[in-house]
Amino acid sequence: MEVTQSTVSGAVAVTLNVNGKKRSLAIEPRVTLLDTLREHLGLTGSKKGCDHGQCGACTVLVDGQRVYSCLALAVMQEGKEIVTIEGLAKDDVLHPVQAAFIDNDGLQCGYCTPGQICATVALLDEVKQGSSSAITPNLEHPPQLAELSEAEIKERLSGNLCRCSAYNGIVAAVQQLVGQTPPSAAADVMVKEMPA
Amino acid sequence: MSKVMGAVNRKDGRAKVTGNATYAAEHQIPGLLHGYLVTASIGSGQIKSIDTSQAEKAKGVVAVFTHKNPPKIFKPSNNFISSKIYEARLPLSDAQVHYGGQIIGLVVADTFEQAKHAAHLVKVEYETQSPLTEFQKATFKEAPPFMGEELKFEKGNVATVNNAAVKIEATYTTTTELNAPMEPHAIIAQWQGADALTIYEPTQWVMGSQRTYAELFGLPAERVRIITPYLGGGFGSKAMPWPHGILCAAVARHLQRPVKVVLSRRQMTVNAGHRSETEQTIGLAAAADGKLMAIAHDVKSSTSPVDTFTEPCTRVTPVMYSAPNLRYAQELAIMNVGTPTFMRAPGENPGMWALESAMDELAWSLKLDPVELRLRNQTQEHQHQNLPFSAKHFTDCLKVGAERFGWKDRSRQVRSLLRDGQLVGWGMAGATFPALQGVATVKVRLLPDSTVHVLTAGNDMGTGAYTMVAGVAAETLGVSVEKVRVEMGDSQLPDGGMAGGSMMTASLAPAVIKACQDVLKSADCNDATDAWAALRQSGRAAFEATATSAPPEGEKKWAFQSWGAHFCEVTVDEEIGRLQITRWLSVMDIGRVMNAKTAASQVRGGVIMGIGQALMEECLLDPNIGYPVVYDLATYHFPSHADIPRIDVVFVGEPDLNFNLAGARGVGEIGITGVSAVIANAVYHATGKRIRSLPLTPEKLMADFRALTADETRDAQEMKELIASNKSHERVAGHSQNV
Ligand code: FES
Ligand code: FES
Repeated sequence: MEVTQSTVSGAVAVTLNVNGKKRSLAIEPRVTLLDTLREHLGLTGSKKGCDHGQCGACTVLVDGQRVYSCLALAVMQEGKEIVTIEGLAKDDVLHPVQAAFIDNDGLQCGYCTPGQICATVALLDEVKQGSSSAITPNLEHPPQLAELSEAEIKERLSGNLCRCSAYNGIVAAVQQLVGQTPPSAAADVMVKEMPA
Repeated sequence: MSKVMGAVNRKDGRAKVTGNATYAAEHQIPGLLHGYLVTASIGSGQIKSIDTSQAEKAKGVVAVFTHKNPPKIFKPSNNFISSKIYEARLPLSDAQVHYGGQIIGLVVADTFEQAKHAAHLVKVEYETQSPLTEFQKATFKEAPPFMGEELKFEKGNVATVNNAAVKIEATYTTTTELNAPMEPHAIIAQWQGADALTIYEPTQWVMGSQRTYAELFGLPAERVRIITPYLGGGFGSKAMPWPHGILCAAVARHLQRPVKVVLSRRQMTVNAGHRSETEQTIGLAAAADGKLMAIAHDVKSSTSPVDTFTEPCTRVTPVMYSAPNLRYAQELAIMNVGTPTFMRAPGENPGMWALESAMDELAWSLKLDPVELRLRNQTQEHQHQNLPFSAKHFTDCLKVGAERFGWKDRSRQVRSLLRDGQLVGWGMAGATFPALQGVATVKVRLLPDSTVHVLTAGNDMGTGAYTMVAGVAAETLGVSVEKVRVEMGDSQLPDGGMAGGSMMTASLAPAVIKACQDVLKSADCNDATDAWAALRQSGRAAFEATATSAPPEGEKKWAFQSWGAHFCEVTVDEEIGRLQITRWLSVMDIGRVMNAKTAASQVRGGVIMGIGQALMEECLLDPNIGYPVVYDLATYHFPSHADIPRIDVVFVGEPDLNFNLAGARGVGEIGITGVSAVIANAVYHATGKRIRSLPLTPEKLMADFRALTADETRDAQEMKELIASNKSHERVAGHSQNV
């Protein structure tokens, strides 16, 4: 068990379960889960885009649910299972969502990407559990994974902004993950060959 | 088909999807202090008094800096060659407040929370002047040249054209837009004693930043190291030091401790650049067959009191369409706003909004297909530089686009298409961006473990540069992309030029090709496999070569420019003012396409940022207090997943070998040009409403369309027809809703 010391007065002792490891540290109660991960635990994969719950870059999984970690205080997460982007791959093997993002070029600068991926992991689970979205036409019959429409995917991911606008690729990644055949990420190139 | 490597997955993809890509603020530095900025709460005036005593006493605070105790900074030459900063005024240089939100202090503490709290304990008294933030009230004067380029020109005499079949003149406006990269601007500055500095900061121009920080602190360039392997987007706003970065580095020297400063979203609104609002008047005169007789383009934009930046909209005027009489001019006003700067396709983006809207208006007036109007008027030469365009395939963009979109099946009437009770419209517009090339140096090393190592201080802010460099090296050496490792974004590597002006590919790719060829030559081998064998036999650590590429010297023979055409379909629900984009096609001529995946993503990214400009992006300032009323991502809207349709991308044309030996012209910015015009043109087709002010917000879409066109006497007859047809459609629409 790794212990991070803090000299900050007013700090309280907290033990968090992050990516299956117990991490004990002393932090002020006002420190967010996001800043705890990034500034105190060296887990900088979760990003700070706005610090206000407006962009989704900081999305992590807490007890399997997606949470904006910039809006959650670390001291309130004791006893919960926190999974960050660093906890998704198993050793060298990427999580299927991570692999699908690469295949479909669902990223450019990569800054929103950890949040988009964590949100997608949760989204797939939510659909499996039968949860509806704001645009699900019939609440009695929430969509199954295989029939998840493009509109449903976009609605369910609209809490995650991407200024590079890798949106097409992200939607395609989700389509691939639910067993659909998304359009290719590549452009149609009709440019003449280089001369030999 | 032109394929360097076809469609390749991003080299940096794995690092980014696993959270292992380290951005500036994330470097783990022992003993790091946290800085939080204090910013002005007035729009213009003077600081009368500033009381830092409470802040200094707050827990964890190490120091507080204001204009009363500014850290030492040297004035840089600021000339783009030896140094360049975004805002000429150095931070904390006096008590003057030039714009709301200006940096007036920095609090440094042990933790982020302590610094932020203490920043709010700084008490400031101001002498307030009334700020000028309203474009309409500003005083405009002739704009200075933009990076050495005159922003005024005339050939023929526009004023004397009086035998035109159709003349139109209209004014188009855009609002203040924010670059708003997802990664907030951030810096960690760490000194090694008094004369060596390491900076972790996202910068699109590694060596430019190195030279600039060196001048700011009176050091030789090699005493400054810039480390920036990953940038979370920049879009023009991360090429040079901003005041917060300069201040952070100065304070870190003063304290001899590493300091980190990250801008909050609120601070990013004014302290990290924006695109100025613009007002553009376009006059077009054409013969009955659509041939342009005159083009006039007059532009206004604004800058801050502390630096000059003109949004160079008129750069598109001499390149798009040919006219015997052509004139353009730009004016600039100083307002109490933060310093505007480069934002994706500076100039070309708003310029094409105005020009391509006006061309659509002209096409309707002439009752001519807007595709045909463009085909008839495209120019084979740059009318200001008097040079022919190299490898221009704008015709293919238009024709392939029209064909694939099904353009010939469009309705020729406004308000003539309905679907599910909503009006449907189609629009098209051209796209363009100049092809630029800089000087870039690349080192290639063949290693005995049968890998290749490519090193350069260029960088990749999401453009795909890592992958492009690897692909070009792989192709030239005859190995697979997996064998190539690319290292970028560190000033200790050879100067790789700037990731800006869409020029990184055109700068780097030829240098990579040359360095790879040289390394094979030095090994006396034809491909890497042989070279690796020879290397192992020789027992040497590596075969290596360094090569530089630069734009050709001597007399200019060509103008280099990329071209494109966008086509889109929109639906408009006039009752609630909802505009949705339902179909999109972009056809681009960018020379050779280096990677069909990342190039498509660049175009999509540009198009979507353009959709944001068209539909929602608007940074408003309170006219009385001069302070932005838009200050975060809940108030500054840009597109989310739900706003965006599938963007189909096609590339046409040929490798532009007059430009460089890679044949590539670059693709970062062209995608955004023309986008807002296509959408407004489609909205006109759908609704009959010619909206000339961006963004196309619901209240504009809900307005009675008669009010929006009533001032145009030129098509009074058409208006009557429209009103008649509108009535009939209202009935149809009402009917379908009742079903
Ligand atoms: S950083 Fe948490 S939502 Fe933006
Ligand atoms: S990839 Fe850059 S913000 Fe999404």
